[in-house]
Amino acid sequence: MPKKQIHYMIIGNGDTGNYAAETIRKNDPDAYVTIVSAQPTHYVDHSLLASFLLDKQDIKKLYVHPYTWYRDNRFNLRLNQPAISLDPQKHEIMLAHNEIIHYDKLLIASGAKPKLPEPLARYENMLTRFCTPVDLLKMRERLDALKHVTMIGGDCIALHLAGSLLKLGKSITFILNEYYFWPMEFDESVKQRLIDSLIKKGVNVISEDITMEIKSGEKGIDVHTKSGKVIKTDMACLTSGMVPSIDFLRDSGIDVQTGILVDQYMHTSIEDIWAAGECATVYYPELKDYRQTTGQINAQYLGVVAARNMLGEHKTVTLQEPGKITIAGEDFITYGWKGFSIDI
Amino acid sequence: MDGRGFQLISDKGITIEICGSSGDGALATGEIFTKTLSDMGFHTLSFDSYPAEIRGFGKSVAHIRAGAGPLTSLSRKVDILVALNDRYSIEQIPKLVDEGVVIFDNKPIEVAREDNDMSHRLGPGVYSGEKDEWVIESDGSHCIAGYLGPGMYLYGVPLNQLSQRTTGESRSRNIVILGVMAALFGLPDKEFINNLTAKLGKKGKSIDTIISAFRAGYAYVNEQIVKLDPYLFRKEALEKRDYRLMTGNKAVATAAIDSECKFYAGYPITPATKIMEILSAELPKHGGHVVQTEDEIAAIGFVTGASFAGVRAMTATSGPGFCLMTEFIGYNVMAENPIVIVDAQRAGPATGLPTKTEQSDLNHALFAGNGDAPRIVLAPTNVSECYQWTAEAFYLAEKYQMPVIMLTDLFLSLCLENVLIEPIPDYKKHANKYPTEEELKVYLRQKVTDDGVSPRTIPGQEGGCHVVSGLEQDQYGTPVYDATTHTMMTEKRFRKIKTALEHDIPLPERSGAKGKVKLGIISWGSTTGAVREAVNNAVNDGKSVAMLKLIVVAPLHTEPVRQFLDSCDMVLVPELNFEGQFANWLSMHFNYTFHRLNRVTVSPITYNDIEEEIDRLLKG
Repeated sequence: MPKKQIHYMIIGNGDTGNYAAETIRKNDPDAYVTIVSAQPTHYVDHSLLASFLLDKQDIKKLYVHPYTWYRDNRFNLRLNQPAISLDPQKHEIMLAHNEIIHYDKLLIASGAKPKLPEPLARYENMLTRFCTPVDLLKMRERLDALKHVTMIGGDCIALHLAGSLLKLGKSITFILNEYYFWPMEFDESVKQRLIDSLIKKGVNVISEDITMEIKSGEKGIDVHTKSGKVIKTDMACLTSGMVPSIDFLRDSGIDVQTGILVDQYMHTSIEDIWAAGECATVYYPELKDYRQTTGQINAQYLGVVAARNMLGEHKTVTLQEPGKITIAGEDFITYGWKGFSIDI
Repeated sequence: MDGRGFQLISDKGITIEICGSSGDGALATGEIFTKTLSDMGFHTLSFDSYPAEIRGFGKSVAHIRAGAGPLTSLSRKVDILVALNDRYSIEQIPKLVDEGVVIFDNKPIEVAREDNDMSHRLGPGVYSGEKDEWVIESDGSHCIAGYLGPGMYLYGVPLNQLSQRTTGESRSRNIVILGVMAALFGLPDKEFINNLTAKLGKKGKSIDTIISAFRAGYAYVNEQIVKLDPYLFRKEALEKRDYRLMTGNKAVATAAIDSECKFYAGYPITPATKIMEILSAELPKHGGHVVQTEDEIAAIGFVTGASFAGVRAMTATSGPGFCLMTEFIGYNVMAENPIVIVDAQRAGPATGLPTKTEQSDLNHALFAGNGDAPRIVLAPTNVSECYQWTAEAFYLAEKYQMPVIMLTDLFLSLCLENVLIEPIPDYKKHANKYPTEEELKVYLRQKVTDDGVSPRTIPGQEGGCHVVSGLEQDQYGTPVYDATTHTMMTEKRFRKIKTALEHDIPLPERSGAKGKVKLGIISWGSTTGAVREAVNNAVNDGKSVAMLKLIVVAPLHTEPVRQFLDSCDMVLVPELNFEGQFANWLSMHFNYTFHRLNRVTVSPITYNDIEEEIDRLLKG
């Protein structure tokens, strides 16, 4: 009897999705693998995004794999096709363009999206994001007209972005709220050193304050803080950390806390569905607790673990070796990245 | 590349396909898009393929090639595919270049559900193999989004929603898509709006409504889509030219009017009908008449009568109709009556494939009819030549008093191309050899002359009374049956061919590498454009290739062809028929073994096809 061809579907074309797809292909040459991505661009190294603001290099240079890699590996790559709902009973996902596709085994690796602080929800359309190649292209289009940029929050993306914008001669204001330097968990003295470093570079830093309103100003936009400050700026960037990108799971019945709850095998609460990467809240037996993970190392590793378990193994997740990163010339140990640096 | 990293449309151009079901408006969209590009100064070449049924469902595709430099051939590869119907457009995906663009309706009315039956899946991966081995492999969905290669760019636009919102119905999706294409590929909206107004302004729907649909598509792209693909039309530095955009059929009809044709009779048949449609509207304005007859036999009968009565007359048909006209070809040879027959070839035999192109009527054009019946057979190679050689057909028919058959084909008939119209010289509009007063004293309608051409009167001319029939005749026109007269008159009729070759039929045109070459290509008809582009590319790549173009297929200038054959190590004859009808025709004149490229794939040969054959033959 011929072996049944299994349709592995992966939602997400980032570190987790690509490592999972590669693992499946290596172990099951006949598998039918579909990668579904909401993004129109290919898998990129996000740590390089900000550096691409400095010159107008072809965006393809950001791509981790040439498109031929997907062809050679016989992956059905569905770019620019966001998933909008999941029906676990029927093993189907619905895409935004009214197409329903079937899976046998599903990996949710949809990553994270910028956190939108509650008070700013109604100003969403006035906020700029900088997380994807599309965000990069949009910002490039506006770059010449930009003189001043305000970072709403001060996460690592903001630090990255500020590094490039400063080199381009742009003025920057940081409004640091409780999420600053997300996802790093620095103590107060380190945070203060980083703030001092920003100020030394000429960045205007407003700390211990929260953005409350964003309004159209005479020339650009006015950002109003809780303490009554008004910052006149050309662009307000949403840089208050990230949250799992799992809106499409509404009504699916999958257990979710901050992210999708998965056990030590990366399996969700529903049969034939796994989740990994920044969209997942993972149970680590070593910690005897769930943990939201971030960073490339975790994303890639968890993608591999999830894929192996989808293939039938029982591989348990373990905490990864910590790595060293450098921010503003200072070294830090983290569990999310290594060889990563932010130079502001 | 421009400053943003976009690849500007080059001399070599890009190919766009707009694919839909009949009624989606794909062809109208293609026409407006082509016209707009042409107005902006781009060189364009476009061709429609559509089903034979007048109403109902079937795939319609507008193929458009546009570039900054002259284009002579369609391309097999497609850069941009616009899907107005996913099911049909999926079939076009294998033609897309690896980094091609697909635009589709991302908010269709119906939900496309993937076929859950695993047996329908051909295997993992999206596609594989070489051009003829493309196998589309997908997850079995009926939505085009699942069929793209990994390097392709997918743009979803809610065409139906935007059409509904702006016009109250979904039928204007094709207008919305024009706005999308204009914005996405850097084209100004003003030019499109002018052309939309010109084409659709008189139809029932308000032009403002139509323009609002266009603007909705344009705005959607500017507001919602981040352009990632490399295609961008260059607006600057385009030479303003006096080209006119027309199809082969329009060129034929226009040239007929400009050549002072005063009578047309025909019976509707794809793809020639448009000639009659144009002439029925235009010819009466120029003092002419059009008769739609009950069949093709009647049509050629009418034309024969009109010509006998002294006016320039023509008919146009396609293979099945041309078959019915056969008897009158011989009659007009015998009666020495000038008529012009345009045969817009389509795939046959019999009714065949009415909306598909082929070059398979050559044998019929060359040999149709009984007896030794000399005729001139022309085959223009592009739309410009459809104009020029229609004028020549009238001139040659009138001057040499014989049928002139002009072979176009479905591709040429429907192909939209920028053409430069050269005025027709007066002497070509008035080529009849009238009798002198001396000759009218004893009028010999079939007078034996050195050039074979006898003086011809028109009915009513004093002293010019004569009998015309299909019987062999002596110089007076009196029916005779003796061998001597038959021999003399047959020689006279063929002497006209010799005279035409000496005075009016141009020599075949050689181009490409000079001198002795490894490979020569002899082309005829619409295949020539593909050959020309392939040979130019080959020569630019340093390959030893030349071509010889023949427009007048019969009679043949044999000496220049022989010289060409002698200068080539091998010679290829590409044509859109199974037998190699033109190669066979050449073989009747030359003891030579030709390489043949015969296709009955019912689509035009592209320069890519010829390039591949060149490479194959040169590699030995």
